[in-house]
Amino acid sequence: MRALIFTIFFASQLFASTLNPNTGRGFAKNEINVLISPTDCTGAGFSTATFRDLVEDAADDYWNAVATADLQLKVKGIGNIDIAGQSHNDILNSGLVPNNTILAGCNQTFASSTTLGGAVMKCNGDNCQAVLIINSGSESAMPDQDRNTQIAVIAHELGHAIGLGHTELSHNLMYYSVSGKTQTWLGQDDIDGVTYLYPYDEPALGCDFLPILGAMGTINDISNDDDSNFPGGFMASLLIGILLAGVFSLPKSLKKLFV
Amino acid sequence: MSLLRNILIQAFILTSLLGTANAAQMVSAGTFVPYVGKAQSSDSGATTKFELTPYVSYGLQFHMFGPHYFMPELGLAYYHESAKKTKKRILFFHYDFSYIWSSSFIIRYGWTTYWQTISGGGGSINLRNGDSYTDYTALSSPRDSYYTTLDLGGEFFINPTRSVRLDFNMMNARDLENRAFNYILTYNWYL
Repeated sequence: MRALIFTIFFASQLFASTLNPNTGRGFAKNEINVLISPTDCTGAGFSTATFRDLVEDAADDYWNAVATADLQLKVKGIGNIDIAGQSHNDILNSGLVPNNTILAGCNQTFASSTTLGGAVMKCNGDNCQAVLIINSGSESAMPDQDRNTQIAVIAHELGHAIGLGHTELSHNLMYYSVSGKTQTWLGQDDIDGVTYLYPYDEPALGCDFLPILGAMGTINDISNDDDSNFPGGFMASLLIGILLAGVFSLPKSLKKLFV
Repeated sequence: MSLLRNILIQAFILTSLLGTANAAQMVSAGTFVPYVGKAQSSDSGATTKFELTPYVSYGLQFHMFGPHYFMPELGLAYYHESAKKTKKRILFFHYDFSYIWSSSFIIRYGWTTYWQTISGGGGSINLRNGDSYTDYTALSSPRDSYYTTLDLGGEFFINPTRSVRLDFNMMNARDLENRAFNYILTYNWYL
């Protein structure tokens, strides 16, 4: 029995999510618009219209599917912001990207043909923008990828655009490379990272359906915790009260277990 | 004022419960498995089916009527700190009920509020980025997120005071496409 308990308590180890080094944070809002640039994507192996569909699949299959995070990427139509020949920072500094928006497009500004894409995020107070660019250069490796991998590449760059950095475990989407693996789901590091940046705030099974559950899904610094944002509010404190009352009536057998 | 109101109401309910009910106590130890089948666990695309994440809990069992019981429970799942100083722990507030199916099996149902905290040591972590390395910002101050699941599970009794429990917790219950499940597998001691 002791061996079993020892095994269980020392078996689980958490690895590390990281944040985008440009900002070290996420967007101020949990609902973020994704706008598509009209710049030609042919060099990446697809049309601009197909690129929009890939971005939508990347958002829905990966980041919008995280049950513990309240992130909603809303993929809009193809806009009129041409990004041909411009770097990420050129575009961000142009002031053309609306607040709370990720601009996604293709161009040929990458120095290395092995780079499939990149994303940069910028925040000024609560106003954040990001630019995601897929490499459509003549030697881009993007056309050589299958559709599933293309979606994973775009999802990876969306991860950077919403504030995440890389992770060190290769099965996670936010690992630096997609080669040599089949990416179908987020890994636990990815899930923890997006949950850290965008805590769950869905009232579906809490605040409207079961109002007694109280406050849910807010993002709090622990040092600011007080009674008003205690999870589950009254019901949670009641549960703790009931359990504490039970502890006071512990039988001797249980006390021996812990002594 | 609301705190005083809560204390008064709780004092009334606690007095009622403890005065009239014969509460059984339960301690549990086992594992918590999140995102079953929906979190990638290998380069081949395999997903998480089982993992050892320590889970401990303490709960009570109050008789309501007939074969129905109320089983409030407070649980904790703890992840060991990584080399990158990332920490994670989840507190579970279980509001479950049980139906005594037979002398050796009960059905459990209800809901759970999760209180999940993730934090890190701050600073930066140097990781591969294309052909070079980049300093990525590490997680820092603790952040909480709360979410609620619907629960359904069963508990098999080995003898009257020992049991094995398997509870499934459903996240995103109203979103068929993004619905996900966690499960808790424990060995339980009734006192």
